[in-house]
Amino acid sequence: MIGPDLPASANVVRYVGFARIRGDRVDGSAFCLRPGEGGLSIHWLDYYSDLTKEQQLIQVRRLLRLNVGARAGLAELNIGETRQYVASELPTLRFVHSPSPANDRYPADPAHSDIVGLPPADAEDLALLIGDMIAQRVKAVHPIADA
Amino acid sequence: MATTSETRQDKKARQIRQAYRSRIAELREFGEAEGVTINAASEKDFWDFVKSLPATRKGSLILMENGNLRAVWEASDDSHLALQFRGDRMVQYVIFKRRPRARQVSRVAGADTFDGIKRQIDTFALQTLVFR
Repeated sequence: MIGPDLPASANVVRYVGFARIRGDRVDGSAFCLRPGEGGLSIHWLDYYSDLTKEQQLIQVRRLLRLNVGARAGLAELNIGETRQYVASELPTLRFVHSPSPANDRYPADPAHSDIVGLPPADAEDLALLIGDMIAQRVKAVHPIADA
Repeated sequence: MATTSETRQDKKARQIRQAYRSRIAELREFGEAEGVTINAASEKDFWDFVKSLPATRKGSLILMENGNLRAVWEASDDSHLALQFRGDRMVQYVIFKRRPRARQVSRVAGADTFDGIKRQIDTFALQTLVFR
């Protein structure tokens, strides 16, 4: 089930491995679905509305369910800016809240969200075109390690 | 003067190739840590393409999850050329081009041969983005 849309004013981050980071930019392939995927995992920074940006990032890093690479990054997007920029090519793009419940291995991740409405993996040309557009709206790439 | 100019061009081309070698070594190391191995056919095509256009500016290079190398040239006006080297001398491209005085950006994506990509660079007037 797809959750509610996040507000246009919200800021989110997506984990990006080092091999897809180009200096202070992120490659658009980081915003493409893999075969069988329905959405891209992101984290809603403003969920932690009473924290500073650095504290929000610490929370996200703490709850990532990934084997984190040493020089990976967290690419930050503003939802409204990104949707507006991409709308001419892909009006279906949505950012939805999909909190992850706790399980045997991980604590609950209440800020977890997804980007949905992206082109499927087998439509590679369109997927990369949209991915590159999203990547052009990345505001910052935060280090994966806490400051 | 012509000789000096050629030498300067050659030196710049060598520096760019060295920067690409360093970046590919880095991508190989970090890619393997992330479970991705560089596709040898993609790497060969990347080098063949670079050598076929000796006066190119340095692009950014990344490793895709499918093991292919992708090179990107971009400008501050959101114009952009991204080339994924698939092997067999076929290249998947994404082009964004803001025409002078135009509000909208033209955007296309597809696949083409090396020669076809060179024609696309001409068609979309991306010479200043790609060439020195």
